[in-house]
Amino acid sequence: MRLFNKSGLFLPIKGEPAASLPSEAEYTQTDRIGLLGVPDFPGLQPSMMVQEGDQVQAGQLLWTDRKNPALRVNAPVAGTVSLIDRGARRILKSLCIERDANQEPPAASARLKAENPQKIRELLIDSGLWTSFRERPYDKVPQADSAPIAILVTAADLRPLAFDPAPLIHRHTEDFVAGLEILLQLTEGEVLVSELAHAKLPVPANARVRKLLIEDPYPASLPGLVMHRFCPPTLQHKVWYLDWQDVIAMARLLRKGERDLERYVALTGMFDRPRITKLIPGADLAQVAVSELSGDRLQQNWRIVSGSVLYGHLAVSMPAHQHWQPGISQWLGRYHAQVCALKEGGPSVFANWLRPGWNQFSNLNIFASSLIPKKTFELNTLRHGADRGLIPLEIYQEMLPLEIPVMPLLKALIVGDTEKAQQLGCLELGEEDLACCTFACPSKYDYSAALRANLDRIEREG
Amino acid sequence: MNFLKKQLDQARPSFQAGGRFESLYPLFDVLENFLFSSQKVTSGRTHLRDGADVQRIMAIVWVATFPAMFWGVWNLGHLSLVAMEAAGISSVSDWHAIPIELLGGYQAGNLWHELWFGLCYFVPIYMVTFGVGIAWEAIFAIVRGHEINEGFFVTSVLFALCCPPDVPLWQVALGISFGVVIAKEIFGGTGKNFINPALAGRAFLYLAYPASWTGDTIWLGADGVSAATPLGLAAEGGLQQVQQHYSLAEVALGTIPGSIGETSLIAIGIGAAILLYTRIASWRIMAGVILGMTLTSLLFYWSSSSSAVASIPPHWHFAMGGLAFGMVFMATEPVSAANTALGRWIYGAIIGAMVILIRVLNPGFPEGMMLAILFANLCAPLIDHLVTESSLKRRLGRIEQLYRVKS
Repeated sequence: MRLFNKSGLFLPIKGEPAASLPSEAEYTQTDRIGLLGVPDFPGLQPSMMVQEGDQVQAGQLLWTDRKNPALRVNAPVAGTVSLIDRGARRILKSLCIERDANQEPPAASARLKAENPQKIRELLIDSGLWTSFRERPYDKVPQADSAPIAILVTAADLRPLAFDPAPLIHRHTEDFVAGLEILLQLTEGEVLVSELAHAKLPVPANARVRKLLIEDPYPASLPGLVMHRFCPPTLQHKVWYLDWQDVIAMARLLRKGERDLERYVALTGMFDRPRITKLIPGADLAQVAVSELSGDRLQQNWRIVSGSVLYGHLAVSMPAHQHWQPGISQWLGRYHAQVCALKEGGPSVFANWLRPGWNQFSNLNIFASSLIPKKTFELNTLRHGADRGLIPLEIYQEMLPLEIPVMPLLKALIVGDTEKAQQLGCLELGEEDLACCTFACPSKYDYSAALRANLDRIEREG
Repeated sequence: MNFLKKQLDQARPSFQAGGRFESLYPLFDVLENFLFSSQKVTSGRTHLRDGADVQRIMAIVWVATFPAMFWGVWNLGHLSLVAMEAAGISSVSDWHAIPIELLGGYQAGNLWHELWFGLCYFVPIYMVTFGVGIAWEAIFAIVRGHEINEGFFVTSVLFALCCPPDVPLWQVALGISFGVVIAKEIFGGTGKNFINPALAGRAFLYLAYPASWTGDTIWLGADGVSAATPLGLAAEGGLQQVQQHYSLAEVALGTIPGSIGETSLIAIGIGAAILLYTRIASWRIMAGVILGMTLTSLLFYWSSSSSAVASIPPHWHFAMGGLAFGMVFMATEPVSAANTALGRWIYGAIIGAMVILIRVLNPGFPEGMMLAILFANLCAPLIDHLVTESSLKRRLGRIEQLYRVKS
């Protein structure tokens, strides 16, 4: 129950990952690895370096982007390219590699020589780690020669069911600090690290490194909201951001020559044991679902989401025992540190609008459940309502703690008024930033999709 | 329930693309959604959606009008029967007599008779409003291929509640038609209207047929009896004349003549509490109205104006007429109100100031709420524009400063 407005979304969903940290050895391996095209890299126009049936080595180049040669995606493991999944208008949806179990992972090479910033950029691009960076405006992987005025490291995560990165960063203190020092060589501006109040993150002693305090609730930790407060990107001022795990991976690569692919990922929602584990980007989530959902629960309808429940991609939608569905991108996304199992769909209820709703959740106090303090819900993927005209309630402004009025921005995005949207600051935002408005909207609009359409048009038309 | 669901499932194909009644799909859609919650699942990148939908929100606003509605219905019957008894009139002379005598009677003080009397006047008004309005909605939805918006449930009940009891039904039909068609549908339907449809319809009738919408004879059922509203009395002789007829407690409780829904401050207060708790209505707008109304009326109260109404203190203004009803249910209608946080304060304050200005300075209309809200509706886009511009300017200044310091 909330009577007064504190900006942000409180989502009381069940399935928090266990607080205990995973052991160093914990790692969930899958037989197939799939690399996502468009879902991870909006606007990707790939030039493919491999074909279906090719044998690939770990680290071999799979594709680059015609518009951005710095965007290089390498094979994480050795194996056979079993499927290149193309969508409408030949967009690349995903590429699947059948892991070759006999191939040993390549041994770490010697320490790489990264004596100047130019060399660092080259090493990061070659290794595929360059795609860790994303650049605002437009929210895409930066060009090789782009010069950001700031690089933001997101080390605070307030997404629903996300895990707290701080204890894990402390586990890798040395690499994290070294990684930040590498970032300092890529910008002449500041390196910003977002953290929660209790985190006390280790950072190098350098005047150009600054910690930013992030406070509850979601979406305050999202890069767009952090930038909005501390380093607003404009057409002249580009800002990069990346996840803390990629900072550590960069340090490992440049200091020790290790290709570190494993990422901490939280299994959340209706999984048997919600917890933090390690997966590599591209891991087969259908296989993970089968091993992490047991007994009768396997027969139910599930949706496995890669990424946050508010902004991720649908990986698997099925009774989990049906394996392998070509055409569905059942892979862990490049930028995702969370996998969530949600109940797919729900019952059709007679005269639902008249019922008190003891078990239904809304941010508005329109259900009787709002009278029970701290109630949590098993939320399902029902849409809860039909498409209707936009009703500009106060809820939209409450969702997004921005300095600009939110409603005019959302309206401009919906009608595709790119000029107005640009004035109102849409270039600072990424699709995920608007996910909470999409969640809350009683008229069931999708503002993330509207933002991407507007950004694409602005980029195309200049 | 299963039987109903099966029927719907069987009927669906003929309403979908390629079916016999394809063009009537909006009707099927609204009926289906009304009976059963949809089983559609989320698509796109956001996998969870809030339980709130327009249907539920409108249902709650609709329910929030109930206290005012039931109070108003009883109050109408009560005042009419008491007045008839006093005037020695034994029965109603028009068609209303048929249902009244069928199930009730004319005994003042009998709760059922009073309630039934009120219902016999209110229900026909509501039925005509609803029937004619939904017909227009359906015609537009079918012709233009958009959905029927549940917002109409609210529009219709609000329109019916701000009618005087004795209004001719053909005028009701005309008014709601004007409201739905001219004020809403020609702009694209709910969500795209820039003035409140219920108020637009009422204003149209008020200006076109003043005889049925003003005066002392329209506030009670039955011919030959009359009662002056507090606002009417105030326009003649100021606060003193009001107090000769009604105490403040009576005005606040709502045992006074007026439009059906507007009389009881307490019943409207219950509705307001529902809307504020659920956070459907904007508290900023309500606070703005109270602020603007209080300041403006105090200004007149302390000045030595010659107008009789000028001497009325703010709490009397608040209790009388349609101010509270308009503030809670009409001014907070989000589509035609301002859309920015500061804008909502300003929008509310304009309504509050305007209603007092009309009441005090305008000799023609004793009531000003309706016109004040319509005026503010017209101002809302301008308010939003100015608020947005100024916050953008502030933001640009901040960004510039940020980067100047850095470089």
